[in-house]
This record gives sequence, C-alpha cells and structure tokens, in this order.
Amino acid sequence: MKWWMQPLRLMGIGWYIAFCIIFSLLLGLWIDDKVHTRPLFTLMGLVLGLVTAFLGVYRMVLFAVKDTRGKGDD
Amino acid sequence: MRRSGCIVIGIVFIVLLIVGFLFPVPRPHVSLPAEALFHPKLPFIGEFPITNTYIASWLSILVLAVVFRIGTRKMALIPAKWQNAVEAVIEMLINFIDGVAGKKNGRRFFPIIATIFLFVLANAWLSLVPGFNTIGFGEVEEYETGFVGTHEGFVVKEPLLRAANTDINVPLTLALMSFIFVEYWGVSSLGILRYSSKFIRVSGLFRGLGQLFRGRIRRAFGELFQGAIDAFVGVLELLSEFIRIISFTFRLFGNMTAGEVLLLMIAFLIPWVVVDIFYSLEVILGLVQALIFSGLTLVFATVAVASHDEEHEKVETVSTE
Repeated sequence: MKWWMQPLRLMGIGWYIAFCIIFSLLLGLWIDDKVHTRPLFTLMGLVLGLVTAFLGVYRMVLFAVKDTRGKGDD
Repeated sequence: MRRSGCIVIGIVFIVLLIVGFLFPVPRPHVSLPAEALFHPKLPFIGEFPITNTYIASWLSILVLAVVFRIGTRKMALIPAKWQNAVEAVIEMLINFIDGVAGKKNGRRFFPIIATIFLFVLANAWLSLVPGFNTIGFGEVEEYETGFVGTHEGFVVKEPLLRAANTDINVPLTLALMSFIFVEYWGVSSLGILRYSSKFIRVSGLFRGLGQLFRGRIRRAFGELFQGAIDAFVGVLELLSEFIRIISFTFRLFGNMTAGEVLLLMIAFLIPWVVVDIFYSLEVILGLVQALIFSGLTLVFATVAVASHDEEHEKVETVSTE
C-alpha cells in the first residue's frame, strides 16, 4: 500500500454521508405517503440514515487510522 | 526578470486588454445538458440525437488512436521522437499501476486503468484547444458585454464541440465501467463465494441461532448481537460500493463543468489577459482529475482483489507492532 492510497479511499466519504441520510429520509417519506403515518417512518428513516452514515464513516476512518498507525516512524 | 522583459510583458497585456475591449465577448450561454446538434433517424433505434459532447468524445478517441498509431507504426529498438513519447507515457502508467497493485495484478488492471486515464486526460486537454465552445451554430444579434455596453455580432448558441467530460453521461459511463471491472476483478480472483462474503456476513447470526437451539441463552444473545452488527457492517460495505458510482460521476462532472464555466465567465469579464492564468490552472486540473479517476479505480481494484482475511491480518500486525 502506498502512502496516498488511504486518503484517496476516503474521497467518497462526503457522498456516502449525504446519500445515506437523504436516501433513507426519502424512503421514510415514501412509506409515510403509502400508509399515511407521517411523521413516524420519516423520523425512523432519518435516524436510520444518520446511524448508517455515522457507522460507515467510523468504519472507513478506523481502517485508515489503523493502517497508517506505526508507519509514521520509518 | 530584466526590466526590458517586464516592459514587453506589460505592453502585451495592455494591447491584449485593448483588443479585448474592441472585440468584446458575449455573455456565455451555460447549459448543463449537452446541446443536441443533429437528429438523424436511424433504423431500429429511431431518433438518435448527436450532441456536441458526443462529437468531442469521438474526436478525443480519434486523437488518441492517431497518436498511438503514429508512435507504434515503425517500432525501433532505439525509439524515435513519437515512439519515445508514447513509450514514456505507457511506461509511466505501468510503473504507477505496478507500484500499487503489484506485478501480477498490475498487468491485469493495466488496460482499463490506462484507458480511463488517457480518455479523461484527452477529453480534458482537448477541450482547452481553441475552437471548443467557440465555433458552432448561432446568429448575429445585439448582445450584452462585460464593460462596453451592447455590441452587435455573431453569438454562438450551440457550439460544435464541447468538452466531453462536461456531459454527465461520460463520467457516468466511466464510473459504471470502473465499478463493473472492480467487481469483476474481485470475483474472478477470489471466487464468487469468498468475494460476496465481504458483503453478506451472516455466519455470526447462524452461530448465534445454533447456540440458541442448544439452550445456551446468554451466549446465544451475545453471538446474535455480534452477528447482527457484523451483518450490518456487510450492508454498509455493499452500500459504499454503490455510492462509489455516484461520487465518481459527480467528482469528474463537477470539476470539469466548473472549470469550463469558469473559463467562459472569465473570458467574458476580462477578455484575453486574466483567462490565461486560469487556462494553465485547467491544464493541471485535467491531469489531476485523470489521475484521481484512474488512481481511485486502481485502489478500489487492489482492495477488491485482496482477500478479506489478508486485509484484517495486515491491520492486526500493524496495530500490534
């Protein structure tokens, strides 16, 4: 692995956050429209999206941190 | 720099400014979708709109083909001019790819990565050639200018050539191609079962169910909880794989379109002089975007080819050192 590979892998992270939140929010809105339970599923979708985005970003960043730790000495 | 040189450059700048004000540029007509120039009717397909970006992308394919044909026409052991240049480019790409993916995988990845790099680069740099965005269909009319009021002249409404990267279909096509090839390389080198085990991780859940049936309730719940988290992580992994297409597409499209619009607007505001600085910036930006697109595909391919256990082992050894 080259030194620039990890930062390059993190380039799509912004899109990941945005997509997770917006997609699950829209999914919640759509379900609410179908079953007329607004705002139940919208809020659930929002929470799900936030959790997914956070965990995914945490995982990606953790990978990068682990991979580069200890390499700064040499 | 010597004083006479400074004076010459200053005079050139002033002359260019005056010329720019004598022949002012109309306010650029910015449209995100590519302009369809011709609408030929094809058998079986029906109407097939030919856009200016489509023509430009064929032009860059043609340019690449001609350059590489000339370079490899008379192959000699001691390369002459063209062959030397072409070989230098290819050697640089091979070193770049082999350095990341290793010799064995590097040769497998090379055709696709090099194609993406050269195509994006050719699209970006060809769009800086004068004639792009300025020659096309339009009409004579009175137009608004940056400084000198209105002016009558020819206004290009539909340029004949427009940078292919500024049509969202081109980055989307490249992104889909990169996605498909990354998945294909992953499956073909790990096998479909081992590759899909990166995304579908239900072994923990099954283990938990097994414990549940044996009646060890507390251990079963622990295993089930761990298994659920593991399965969720697999879903995240799958999701990030697909979101990559979107981020690939919009990165290239956004950067290239922004650069194009910036050049057009600066040329409209202050003709001739200031736009040169941004022109050189665009040259670098085209190279950087081509490097990022091909480099990211390469990185993701390398990650996809590496087996899951290997990656984990490596992380473990690094963190315990």
